[in-house]
Amino acid sequence: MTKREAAVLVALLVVLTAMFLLSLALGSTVVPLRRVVEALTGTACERDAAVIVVESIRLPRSLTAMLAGASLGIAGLQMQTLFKNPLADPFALGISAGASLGVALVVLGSGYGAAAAFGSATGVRGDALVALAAITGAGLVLGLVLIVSSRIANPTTVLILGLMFGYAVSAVVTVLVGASQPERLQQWAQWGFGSFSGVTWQRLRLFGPLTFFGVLIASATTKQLNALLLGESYARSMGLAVRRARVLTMVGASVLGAVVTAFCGPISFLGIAVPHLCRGLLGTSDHRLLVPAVVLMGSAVALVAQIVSLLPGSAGVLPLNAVTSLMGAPIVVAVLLRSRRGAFAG
Amino acid sequence: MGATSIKRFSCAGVGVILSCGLITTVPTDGISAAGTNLTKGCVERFDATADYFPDKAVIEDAAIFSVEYRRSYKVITVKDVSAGGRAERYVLVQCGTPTPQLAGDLVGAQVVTVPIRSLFAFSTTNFPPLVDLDRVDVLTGVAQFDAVASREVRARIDAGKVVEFARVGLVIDVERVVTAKPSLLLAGSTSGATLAVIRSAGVPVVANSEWLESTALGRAEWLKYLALFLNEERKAQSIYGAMKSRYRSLSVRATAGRELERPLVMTGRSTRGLFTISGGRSYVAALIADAGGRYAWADNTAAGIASVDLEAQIQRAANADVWINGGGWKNLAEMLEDEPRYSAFKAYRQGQVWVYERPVRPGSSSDYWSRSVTHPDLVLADLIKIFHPRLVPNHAFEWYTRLPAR
Repeated sequence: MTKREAAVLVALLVVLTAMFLLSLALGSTVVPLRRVVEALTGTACERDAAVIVVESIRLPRSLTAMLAGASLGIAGLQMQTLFKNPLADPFALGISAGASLGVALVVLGSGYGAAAAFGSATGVRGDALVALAAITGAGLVLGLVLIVSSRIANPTTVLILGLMFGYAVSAVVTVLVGASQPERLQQWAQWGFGSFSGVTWQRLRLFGPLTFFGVLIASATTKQLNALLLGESYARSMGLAVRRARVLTMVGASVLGAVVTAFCGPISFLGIAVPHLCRGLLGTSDHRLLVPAVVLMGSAVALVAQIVSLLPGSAGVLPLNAVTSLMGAPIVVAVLLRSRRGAFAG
Repeated sequence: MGATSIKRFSCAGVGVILSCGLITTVPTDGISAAGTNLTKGCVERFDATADYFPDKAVIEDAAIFSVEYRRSYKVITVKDVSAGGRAERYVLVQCGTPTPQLAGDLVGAQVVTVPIRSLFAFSTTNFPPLVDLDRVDVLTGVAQFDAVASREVRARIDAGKVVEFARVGLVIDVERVVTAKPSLLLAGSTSGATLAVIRSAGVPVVANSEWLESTALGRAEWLKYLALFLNEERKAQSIYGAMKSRYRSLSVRATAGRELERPLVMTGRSTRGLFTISGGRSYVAALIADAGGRYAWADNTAAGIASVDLEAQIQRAANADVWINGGGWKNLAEMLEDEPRYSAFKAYRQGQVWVYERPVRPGSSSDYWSRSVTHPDLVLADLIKIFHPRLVPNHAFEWYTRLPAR
């Protein structure tokens, strides 16, 4: 590790910590800093609105943002390396479209027999039903893509396959949207905005371990990723079971993407941008450095987007997806233009 | 105020007397009496000096539409045909009288022959006024059968007298409308391209913007708008007047001298941490104030609904006494499954969560959305019973129920 690389990692850690604290102190209403500290340390003598806000809204929201950001960052990195394609993201295999279809069926088609039966058979409703539908939809599409792609050797063909599945599934969603009631459309649109605020402590008990261990497992794939970066034949000569590694990485990255989508809605941009930002900052494509950087950077960027989307002080809320893309796109462009190594060092 | 102050029998003045005499001689299907508007049929012999609309609508609370009377036609101005839209003017010509020469800003205005014989109505909010005016008989088309809660309209559908013209996704089936050729299509807004096609095919299309009114009374007064096309001004004036005086007297009882006991009221529900509430300038906010409540977001500037962060809602309304218009829940336990942080609200913990979705009969949907529009006095009475139960001991809830614990 060079001095610069170490400095970048330390800086990322510092920024992340600062953003985490900031996200607890800032929100759509004003909570005095003293009350924030009291709420966090459990020394508040009175459980008033301010304490509830910090304890049950801001803290789970910030943790969710960090976990989601880290998950999408690392899943994006895996996909980009695996497919040797700078445009790949965690949703490359059509899982975002699959999740959308699942959600569209329960949100837009709550009158339809199948969707209603799905809800009553699984015994869940409301937001939990939406999450379950998203993960089911994503899983089904991913399964289909994997079955078909097991006959295909070329990674780029697999990527195109995922894209095509995505288009086909999106077409079905469009049909559902076209035939639905306006008030349901609003609910549907809201899901598409993406949000970290819907993950409560109860849901964090599921979301937390899933993403935490997901990121941990993904972090352990650095060696395979480095080997894949140098080409499949080289990887094979190093004793890597290429096909197995490829499928496992694809599944891992897609599951991370699907879990985040189920709980937070389709969060665009982070998965594709964070790896580029890290490559640009570090000037390397060594995954032993990129993986920790992507985890730190993903968490920090998600927190910043969360803070901005709340427009501190006012009651309104900007759609999270709009914030990530509007804020992130110029930064990524700047990093790409300044980086001597260009867009993609693979 | 109210019905009593309105000139209902205005058969006075030379022109009017002439028209009164004229109309009695016209062999219509037995409806017209001396000095009233012709609610069915046409004028047979045109008299240029006669006033064909002795019953006139007087608009008191609606801000979006107005009407001017000429002898044989009336001109309606709708200020907004959609949110932030443009104004439109409609010329309603008495059947049997010549179409007037339209000059100035009336050039190109939509002309409708009245009284209409058949009506395609897009919004379910159009049905209750038809029922109140006892004129469901003109209804020949509705957007979707499934959305109809009104018993009277259901009966017409079952009798096969009504067609469905926007069955899939509320997209208007142009061919169906044009071939059925109703006297009038009452649309939600008139900005769509489809409606231009329908107009050019000879079917008159007018807007229905009652949802843009900012007060409950203003919305209710759109009963008169519908009445203008039916020449039923007399009935509409009396129905609206009676309703308004009931509303006013209820509101006076609920607000006079009760500054100290006004409960703090919150509205809406949370979706993924975003609370959808009624805006501070909405008719819901006005109803809360008229029912003797204090709205937690009274200083908000939105006219319809507004979205606020859950955090902001907790800071504002954690101590609200009553929570109304949430919706979608069967009981308090189910609410908590949806969003555990609802327990931060005092109104939730004390079980003061009220919803308006009580179905008309088992298995059907609530008719709140359609019927409350022209009956704000009943909504107000419900709210007063929630905020100040002792004031209206004999009122039975029309729509609202308190959510049970489970």
